[in-house]
Amino acid sequence: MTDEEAVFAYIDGELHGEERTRIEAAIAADPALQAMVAEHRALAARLHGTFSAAFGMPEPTATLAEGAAEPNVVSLAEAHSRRQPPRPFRAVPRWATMAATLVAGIIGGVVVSGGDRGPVSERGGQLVASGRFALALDTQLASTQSATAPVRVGLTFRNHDGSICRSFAAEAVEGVACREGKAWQLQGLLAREHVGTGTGDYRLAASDATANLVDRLIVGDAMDQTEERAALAAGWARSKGR
Amino acid sequence: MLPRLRRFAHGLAANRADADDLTQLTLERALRARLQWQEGTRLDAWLFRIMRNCWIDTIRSRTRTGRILASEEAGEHVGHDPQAQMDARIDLERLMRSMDQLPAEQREVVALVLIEGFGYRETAELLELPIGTVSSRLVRGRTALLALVNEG
Repeated sequence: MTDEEAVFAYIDGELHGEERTRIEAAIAADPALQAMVAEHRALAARLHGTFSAAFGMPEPTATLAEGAAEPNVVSLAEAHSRRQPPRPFRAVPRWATMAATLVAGIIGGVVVSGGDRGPVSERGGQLVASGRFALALDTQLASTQSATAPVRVGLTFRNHDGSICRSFAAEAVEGVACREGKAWQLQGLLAREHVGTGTGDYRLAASDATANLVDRLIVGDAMDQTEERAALAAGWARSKGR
Repeated sequence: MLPRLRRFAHGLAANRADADDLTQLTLERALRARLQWQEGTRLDAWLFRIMRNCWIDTIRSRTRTGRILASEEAGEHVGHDPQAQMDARIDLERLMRSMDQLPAEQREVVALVLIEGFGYRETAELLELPIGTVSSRLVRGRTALLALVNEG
C-alpha cells in the first residue's frame, strides 16, 4: 500500500494498530494533509448521506409528521428550561415531543416535502439534526461553503464540556446544534423572520436569538478557518482534557 | 434490502431512469437465479454482484450500439429556483452526473465503499479483484470525483 493509499484507508477506517498510529501522526504533523483528509471525509459523508437520504435510509424514521403548521417561534432551549427536568424513567421527555411537533410544524410546510424523513429527528428523547441539516453540519466549512448552499453554517465553537457546536441557518429556520457522539443535538431551532421573501436573506447574519444562544453556550473564541478544518478532519470529536 | 439495491443502482447508473431500469433488471435476474443463492452466504453481496454484472452488460451493449444520448435529466433543473425540498434530489442528480464521468472500474469501487459502506476486503471479494487493486482504484476514483464535484 502506498502512503497515499494508506491515508485513504485511514479515512475509511481500514487501518489498525501501528499503521493507523503512523498515519495519524503523519496527518497531525501536516496541515496540507489535514485539509486533504477533511475534504475527502466531507466528500464521503456527502456521497453516503445524499444517496442514503434519497432512499430514506439509514436515518431513523422520525415521528414528526403529524404536526400542524404553527407560526410560533420555538426555542428548544427555552422550552427545556421552562419545564421541569424530565424524569429519568421517561424514555422520551414530553417537552421534546411537544417541541418536536412545533418544530415539525414550522419546518414541515417549508422544508420537508413530506414522507418519513426530515431535517430533524428524535433520538433517545433528544432532537438531533438529520437529513440535510446533519449533512451540512457534518460536511460544510464556513470558509468554503457555497453562497447558495441551502443550509449555511455560521460559527463553530466549543461548549463547556469541549463538544463542538455549530450555528446554522436555512431558508426558514436557524439554530445551534452541538455534537453528541455521532449526532448533532439541537440546542435551539428558531423560525426565521421574513420567510418566503425569496431574497436569500438567510445568508445574512443570524438573528439576535441565535446570537444569544451562542453566547450562552460558547467557551473561548469561535474557531477560525484552520481550526474549523481541523475539527472536521478529526470528525468533530470532543476535545480531550476538559 | 430494496432501498440498498436502489441506492447502489443510483451509484452506478448514469441517471435515475437508468437506475430504476437497473434495479428492475437485477430483481428479475435474481429471481430467475434464486436457486443459485447459497444459504449461509451473504444475500446482499450476491444481489450486488448481480446488479454489477447487469450494469456491465448494459454498458457493453450501449458501447456496441453507439454513444447514448445525453440524459434528459441533466439540465432538467437548470434555471429552477432551488426549492428547499428539491435540494436533496438535485444534489443526488448532481453527484450522479459527476460519478458518471468516472471510468466504470473506479465508479463501482467508489459506489461500493463510499456509498454502500463495504470494507475493502468485502469489495475485493464482491468484484473478484485483489485488495490492492480496489485500494488504488478507490484513490484514483475519489480524487477525480472530488475535482469533478468541486468544479461543478
